[in-house]
Amino acid sequence: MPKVIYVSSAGDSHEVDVPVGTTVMSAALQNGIDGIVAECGGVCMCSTCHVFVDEKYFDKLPPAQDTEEAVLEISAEERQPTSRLSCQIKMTDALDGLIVRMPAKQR
Amino acid sequence: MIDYIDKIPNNVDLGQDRLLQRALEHWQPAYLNWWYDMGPNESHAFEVYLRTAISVEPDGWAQFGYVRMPEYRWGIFLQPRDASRQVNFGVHKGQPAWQEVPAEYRSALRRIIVTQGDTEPASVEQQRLLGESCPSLYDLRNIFQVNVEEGRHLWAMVYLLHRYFGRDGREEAEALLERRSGDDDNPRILGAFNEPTPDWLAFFMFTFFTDRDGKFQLSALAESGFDPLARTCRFMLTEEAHHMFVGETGVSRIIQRTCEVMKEHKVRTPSDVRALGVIDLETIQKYLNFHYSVTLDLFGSDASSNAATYYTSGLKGRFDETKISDDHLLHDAQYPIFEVVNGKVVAKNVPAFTALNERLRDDYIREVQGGVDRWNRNMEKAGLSFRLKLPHKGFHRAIGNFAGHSISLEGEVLSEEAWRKHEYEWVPSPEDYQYVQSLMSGRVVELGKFANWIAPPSRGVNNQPLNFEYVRFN
Repeated sequence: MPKVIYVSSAGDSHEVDVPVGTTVMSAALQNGIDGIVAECGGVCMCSTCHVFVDEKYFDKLPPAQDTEEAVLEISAEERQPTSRLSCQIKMTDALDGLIVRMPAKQR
Repeated sequence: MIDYIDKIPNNVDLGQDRLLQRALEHWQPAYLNWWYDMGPNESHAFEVYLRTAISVEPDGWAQFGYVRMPEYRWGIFLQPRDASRQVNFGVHKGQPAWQEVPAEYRSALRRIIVTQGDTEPASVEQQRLLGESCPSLYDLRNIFQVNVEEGRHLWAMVYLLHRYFGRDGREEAEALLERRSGDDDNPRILGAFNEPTPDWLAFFMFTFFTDRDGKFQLSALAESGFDPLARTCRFMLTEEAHHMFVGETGVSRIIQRTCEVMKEHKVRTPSDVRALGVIDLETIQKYLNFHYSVTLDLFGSDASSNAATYYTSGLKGRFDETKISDDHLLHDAQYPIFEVVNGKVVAKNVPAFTALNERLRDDYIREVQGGVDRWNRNMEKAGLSFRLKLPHKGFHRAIGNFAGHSISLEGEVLSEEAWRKHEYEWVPSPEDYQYVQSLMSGRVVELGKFANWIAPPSRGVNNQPLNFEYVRFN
């Protein structure tokens, strides 16, 4: 099963097995990862599952849709070039080892 | 006969619920009458590109299409039940969450649900004329989306009243359609919901500040030991997130446009800025002061025996209750509140379970500050020194320990006379409202066009372009 490495703003890492098709947000909630809030429940309406994707993996992701880009504009911590909403990242085998860093605040 | 089961998307087994069906047969026509009377003015034939929730799954939100608003499918959704869920705070902590209303809390729960439910139609009433002065089709579509979702929130609360409170609940559900925002004889329950929303800056401020109060109240109720209320509120938070997006980006686009004009024309003073047809930053600050302060009142008294009872009974928790590491009983905990003593604002510690309104208000203030910081990025990027600021939490308050005191933006206790001298430096004057409304004298409805006083959004709705026909007028 592919793995995701969640890195907190303090630098702590948690490695989680994530089934293909599950979102990075959903896996974080299921595994009690602090730092992903997902206030809207994962439907791309808030920005509280904001993550910074490691550059090595960023280009492997399908590009963000306009809705995601719009919502990222209201993220609590200012978006960066590799910002994504974790509710919009579905796990694939090609993403095995994906590293996502979580911002210090989500709201 | 209307087929309610078909017409109303739901996950509450509506088809098997005779009680609810019968109640809907009586309530739904009254709701539609209310919508025709008090919903968005002269909009009933418009076809609006709306999102309709058809299930609680993430893809259940992705249903977009043209809808006439009176035909919107106001669904009833609860988050799926977790059979292991418990009451997580108060004296019943550790017991299984209640699936029916405990008899001893019936009256308190009904009051909580009615108070929350009353805010939903109220905001639709407050905003009903704004469609006539929309800055674009994009914005018109957004306000209509907010309005139908407030309608759905009303349905959510009415479902609880009908399903769990019998005759009393039915009567309360009818009364929700009878009160009117701003009405002298039969007003809405909470003050901020009787204030006018006279223009689009006020609308965006309302959705940023006041809908966010809704979010915090719903979050506290989503912790309730009464499981159907918790599950209902959890689902409503999704829509609330969108309303706050509309508010935050709306104000941000107004600020962005003002900054662009100030920079381009090298103007700074409000009169010069106004001469260029945009809203000066000082007026935006006054709107912020007003909406922030009236919204702070919605959280209620600083020390409250009702809030204490709701908490100890397990009816209404704190924001993120289950993520807080403490005993969830608050027997020995203290919390600071503020009061005016001898002309000064001073802090005093009180038992934490009496200060839950204040704690929720403080949680809210922290989040609002983040949004204001994001608005200020516009000025930063434009190289302007002006920054928006939240006023002191005692400013312009009508409820709680600051009520009856005249507090400045900085938290200084003034005489009423001294406060009045500054009033229109701090909150919008009639002339400010008149100016803002003068910019919004008609609808901007050409495809892809935006009023001069607001920047276009960076992106459209549901990946549609900005020149998409978001509303069709028939």
